[in-house]
Amino acid sequence: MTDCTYSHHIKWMREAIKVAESALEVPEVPVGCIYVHDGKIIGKGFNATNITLNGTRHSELVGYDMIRQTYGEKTKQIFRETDLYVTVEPCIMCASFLRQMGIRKVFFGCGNERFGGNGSILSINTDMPSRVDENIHIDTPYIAYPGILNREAIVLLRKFYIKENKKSPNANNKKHRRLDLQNFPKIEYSKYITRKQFTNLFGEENGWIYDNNEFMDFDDNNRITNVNTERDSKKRKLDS
Amino acid sequence: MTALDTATYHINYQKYTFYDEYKRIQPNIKTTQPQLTKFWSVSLDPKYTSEILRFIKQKFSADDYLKQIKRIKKVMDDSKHFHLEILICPVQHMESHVLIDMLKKWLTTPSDFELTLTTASVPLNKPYSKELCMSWSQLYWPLVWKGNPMVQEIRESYKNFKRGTVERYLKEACNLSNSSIASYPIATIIVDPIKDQVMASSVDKRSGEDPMIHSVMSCINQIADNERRRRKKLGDHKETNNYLCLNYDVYTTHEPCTMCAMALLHSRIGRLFFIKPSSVTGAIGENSGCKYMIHLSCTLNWKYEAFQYVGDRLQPSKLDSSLSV
Repeated sequence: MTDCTYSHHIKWMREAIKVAESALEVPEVPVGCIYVHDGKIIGKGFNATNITLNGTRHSELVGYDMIRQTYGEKTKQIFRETDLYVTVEPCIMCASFLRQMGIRKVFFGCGNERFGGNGSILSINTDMPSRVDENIHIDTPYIAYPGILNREAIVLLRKFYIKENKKSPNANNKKHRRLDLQNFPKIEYSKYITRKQFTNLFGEENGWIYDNNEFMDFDDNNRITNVNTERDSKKRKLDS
Repeated sequence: MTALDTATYHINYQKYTFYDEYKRIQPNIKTTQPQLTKFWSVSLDPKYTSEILRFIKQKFSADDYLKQIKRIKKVMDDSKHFHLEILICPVQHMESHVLIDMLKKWLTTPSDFELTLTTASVPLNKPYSKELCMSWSQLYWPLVWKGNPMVQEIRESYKNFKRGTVERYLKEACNLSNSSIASYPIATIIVDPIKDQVMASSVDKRSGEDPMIHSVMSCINQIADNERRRRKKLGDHKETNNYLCLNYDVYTTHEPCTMCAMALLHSRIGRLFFIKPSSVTGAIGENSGCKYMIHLSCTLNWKYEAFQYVGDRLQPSKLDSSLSV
């Protein structure tokens, strides 16, 4: 079976999920990322704010340090041809960092409802300053695709918070909380990208996923498996 | 707001300045827009009032940002019956099914009672006039008017403002930037205001190998590194407060970029002071860059105060306005 246009992105996100999983043992909030350049992982990291005592050590910055240790002076040049796969939407700080570094594209799992900088709270990746002058350099905007393995990213976060609650002596009312694998908040695609940007990547046939704010499901070949029941039932009606 | 006020306090309420030299960066009263946040609200018969109030008291009483918001709204339905709409918590804090389960366990409603949650948009910032308060109450959710919060806020801020100390550290940051041999004359100092002690200081160290090591980031890293070393040396592995910059003061020569402004928010600093505005890349000033005013942007989590020096005695070098610092 040949790959479709988007399947390699799903493959890379599975790698980012693996990185995030390793944070659970530390324990750190399981957010993980990988940077991919020319078909190779050149940097990866998970959130390290607890072990470093530094609230700014997000996975994106940890991965960046790895890249600059390899590439030195060439780091910025490499970034321009690099895509980031991160399990949770970059926060405002990281979104600004990525734009200043000139990242090519960003793919993320779930939205970040508190600090998201790629559409949830602010759109640092695409905003333009009010004072624009042709002589002034503005960092190039980048596209950030949401919802890639969204569910997997959320499940990891839930696993972490359940574990933390068990440690807390005051969390008696949360003691019996089970890992919820059924209910997920919907993702509002239009906060992050346009329909055109979505279908350019996932194909026009999947545009309905965007319209209905559905979670995307993928098979082992990283192809979308969502079935448009509404359309199918209409089709059946027409057939009969 | 009287002449006496101005003389005693050195506060200019029109320009938000202290001593005519320090401009407090805050939203403009006239253009204040409601910062709406979605909350879960539940609709109930008035006979459950005391039950639901006890529920809120026990489970959600810590949410003190709700002080200016009324918890309960009375609604008359088409058949002229009253019911109550009760505000529970921000949608992002809890998923609906978890909250419904909690409510069902708590309330003595009949077993076939259909409990539904709706979402309500609630302004979390304060309106600055009684008229605005009434209009937001009509448009969104009933609010409590407790007098002009801006005047109270500015006075509180002024009480903690020690002019001599602020000027001393800003001068120090200026000297650091002027004596720096680094390519960019930008300097930052982080101070523990209780001990009146410098906790970190750094000039801008960006290079081809690390273009992102702005002076604010360097200072935050320094503080974490020092504390890690200290804990290791002492074998101190107690799980104490890990917000190492909690309520610290940050003095910097140039208005920080979005990355640095947000890094300071993640680090939970108390106040930021800067001298030169960054008109294109700055993330604090009300007209800078994309007008983010990052220090006030995440209302549910943390915010910090920000001051711009608007006097003419302290002069760090001017920078290319497209440079992020």
